[in-house]
Amino acid sequence: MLPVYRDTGSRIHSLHPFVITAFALSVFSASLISGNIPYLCLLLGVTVIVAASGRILRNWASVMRFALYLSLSIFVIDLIILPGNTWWNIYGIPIPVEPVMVSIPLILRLLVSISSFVILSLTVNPDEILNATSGSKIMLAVAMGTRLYPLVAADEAEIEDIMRVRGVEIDTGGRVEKIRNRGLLLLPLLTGSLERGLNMAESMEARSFSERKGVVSAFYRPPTGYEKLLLALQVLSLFLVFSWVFIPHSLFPVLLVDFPGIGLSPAALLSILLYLSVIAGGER
Amino acid sequence: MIEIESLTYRYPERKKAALNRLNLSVSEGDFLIIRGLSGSGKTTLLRSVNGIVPHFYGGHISGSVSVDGLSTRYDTQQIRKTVGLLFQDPENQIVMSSVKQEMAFAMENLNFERSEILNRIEYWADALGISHLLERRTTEISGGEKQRVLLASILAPGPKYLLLDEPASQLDNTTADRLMRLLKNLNREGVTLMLSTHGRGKGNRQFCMEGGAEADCARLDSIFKRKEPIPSYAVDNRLLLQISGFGASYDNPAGNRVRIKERVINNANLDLRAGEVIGLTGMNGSGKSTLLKGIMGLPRVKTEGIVRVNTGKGMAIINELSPASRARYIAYLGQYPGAYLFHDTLEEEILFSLRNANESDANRRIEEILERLFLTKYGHTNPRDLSTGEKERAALASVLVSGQRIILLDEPTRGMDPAKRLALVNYLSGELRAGKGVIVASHDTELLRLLSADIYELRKGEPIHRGRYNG
Repeated sequence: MLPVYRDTGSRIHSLHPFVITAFALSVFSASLISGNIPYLCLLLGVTVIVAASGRILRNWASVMRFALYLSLSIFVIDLIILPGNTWWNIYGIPIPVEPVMVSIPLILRLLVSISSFVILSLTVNPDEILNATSGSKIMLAVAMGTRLYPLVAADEAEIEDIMRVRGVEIDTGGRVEKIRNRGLLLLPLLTGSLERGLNMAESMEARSFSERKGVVSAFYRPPTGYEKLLLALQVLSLFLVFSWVFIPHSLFPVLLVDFPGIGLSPAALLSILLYLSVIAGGER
Repeated sequence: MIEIESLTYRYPERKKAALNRLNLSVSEGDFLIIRGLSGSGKTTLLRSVNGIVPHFYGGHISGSVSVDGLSTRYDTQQIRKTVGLLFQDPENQIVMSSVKQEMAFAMENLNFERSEILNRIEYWADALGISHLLERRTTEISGGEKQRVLLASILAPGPKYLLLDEPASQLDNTTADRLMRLLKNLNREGVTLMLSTHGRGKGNRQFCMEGGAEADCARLDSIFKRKEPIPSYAVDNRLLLQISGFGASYDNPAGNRVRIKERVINNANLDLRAGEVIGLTGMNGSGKSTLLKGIMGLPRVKTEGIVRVNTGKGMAIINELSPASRARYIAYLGQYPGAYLFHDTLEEEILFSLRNANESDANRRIEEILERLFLTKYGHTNPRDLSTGEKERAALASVLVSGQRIILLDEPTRGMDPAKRLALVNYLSGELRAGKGVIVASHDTELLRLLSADIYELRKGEPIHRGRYNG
């Protein structure tokens, strides 16, 4: 079963949806901008801390496990296809240095990106995103797609049951067999989702969705001043990372020049601290 | 007033017209019951009044439909402000994540004031008995509750005309009766109602349909005439399935905000014998489906107690078997037969199950099962193109490949008309005569009567024996 949003009672869950959305987008963007391995490790650490303070570590880990498998396969493919001039000798096995140094930032970026969006989907109530974005018809339609996610998760569980009662052993066997059997779920899941999408569109049309013009949800809660501040800090973090990577360090040496030995500047470290501000959370 | 004149409509890429020169006039204050078998055009008729047909579906249309003098061809947006339409399957209509958002949806689209929206939500939630659901997510509530939430969502903007497509098809009898009382009250308050149904409704007018045109209601009455139940075939007292001290619970049902352990079945004891039908009844959410899923060992249901089946070599405990292994002895068909069908042809569909069960002589077995389920002519048809009743039988064919002697059916007549229900009863009658046993969970009292089912009503998670159903 795919993990879905559940209010665990944490302070992060009570934040305005824009704050966590800004956090996820900002962390994601920072991971794209910077290829610095220590910085990417710190970003990954930030997402682990935020996941822990949101009490979603178990569900987060279940998704990240798959991301890890994916990362390992990227690593192996890089080792095979990328050329190497320098070699490490580890227990008699020659390992090319260049492919390793290329694939580690790639893998870290992938893990940070997935982690930030897992946090977004597990800590932000889809209802609140819907309320916050309902003023724009396009955004509303996109946000409505989040309603499909738990339905698809439920459909997936239903189809798994159907496969079981039709004699498919989806819970036993080796990893390859399990993956192959899970693949059987895709077609019924897709056809079911298309059919459901059509029915929902008909239901929306019957209830005058095409008439909707710039209406904000009756249940929309605007962000408080404190939440606006947290949101601004996420934007500021991204700005700091951007400056560190793209602005010549000689312009702001105090902020942008890396500390010797660790390869990180005060701006980079400050951005990490600002990202962590979300763990203060909202009011309960 | 709704005026339909010589309306003919054909869906895109269909050769046959869904509506054929239809004439109908509905006056203000009417409570019109639209009767007909599946595929007679009832749903299309309702869609045409709301303008969904042809604006959403496309297709070819001739004739006219007008509501209070406004034509559905040109004034759809105006018309939808006064015409509310509730479709058959609530699961596929809910578009929002929370109950209160769902109720606000149509009003927000029509640009109601915020305070007005909140007042109307409160009023209709109270009127429909769903105030306690307002803070819940729509994925957490039962099918019957979803139906009421949708009805509230459609009633909240205050439509003058209310169109309902088989609104009681997924409700238990008590909830269905409550719904009908509510609709009568609405009608008394001035809402004009058009309600489609397979059976007889309790409106003040009826309009019968067949093949997309008006039909003689007397002819429909003859189809709906009470049939004699099949005899009981429980003759040799051979035990097929025994469950004892059986309990079932869900650990943290999907989508719940708070982690909970929901206990659904307590201390259930049932014996199923060859040739016997056990009917499980009870309100929506009473645990009928959970009991069947628990017997099949499906992993989301946590069970306790003992399940024994007759393996042909005597009774054996199957608690440790996986659902796929249990499927050798038990055929289980859940509530959504459409989800069982995903291959290009029905033959491929059955072949898939045969391969999983390592059954040999596939061609003969496919032929045999198609014949037994009256599906021979559909072997090369895409199963998703079949009608509701045919889909149910096709899905049954996909789980019955191993000649299992125990058949579990969960609401098998959902959306079926009486003719299709009778075809299912005839099929099951043959299986019972051959010494099989059936447990059927259903709200459909007519199905239970026709099958001469031995009834167990689920109350507070315990099956209480009520004896044979006598209508």
